[in-house]
Amino acid sequence: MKKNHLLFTMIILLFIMVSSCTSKSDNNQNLEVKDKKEVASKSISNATDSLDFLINDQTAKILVEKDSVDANTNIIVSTSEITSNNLSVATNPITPLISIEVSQPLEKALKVQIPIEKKENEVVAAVQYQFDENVINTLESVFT
Amino acid sequence: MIYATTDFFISSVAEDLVLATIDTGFRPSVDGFKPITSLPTGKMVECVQEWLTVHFIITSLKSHR
Repeated sequence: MKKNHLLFTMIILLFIMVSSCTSKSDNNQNLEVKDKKEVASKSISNATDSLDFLINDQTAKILVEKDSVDANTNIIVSTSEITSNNLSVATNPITPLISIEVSQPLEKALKVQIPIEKKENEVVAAVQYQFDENVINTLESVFT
Repeated sequence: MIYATTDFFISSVAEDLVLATIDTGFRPSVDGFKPITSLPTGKMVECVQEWLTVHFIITSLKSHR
């Protein structure tokens, strides 16, 4: 019973944290990165497909569901080393900035699987950054 | 030719820092976020880009570096 109460409390705290970890345009915050390097690319059709790439010397995956695209679509993955960040919420990047480019609209969401070694008492999440307006946004992140 | 792009990184923050953030009452008023579920060490983290996020990719084209 006590364990369930603790788990419930942690879920509530994590939800509040994610709510806090989203920020509208703020010119006082920014993310500085080095030039990006292409790490993988692939042309996909409307079949189920995947694309592997390396993050911190470990294999990560982009999973593409069937019927995600109408026509052949190029997916390009690049990474950029993060040299500094001055974001207005608590962040600690443990991967480079990962950029995913597509050549056609997607009908379904992409899934990106990234190997992470989560330590005790740490909260891990994917954080999206929009360069033109210095906006960050927490993506839904689930350990599987 | 690039139709759309998105940029993201994985962040790991100590729970203590999360609690401190909550204590300060920091509440940016932005919607569109989703909760995190954390499970044991050493597993794969699955960052699911929902349809809303894909839509965000389309709008982020203008920010392509």
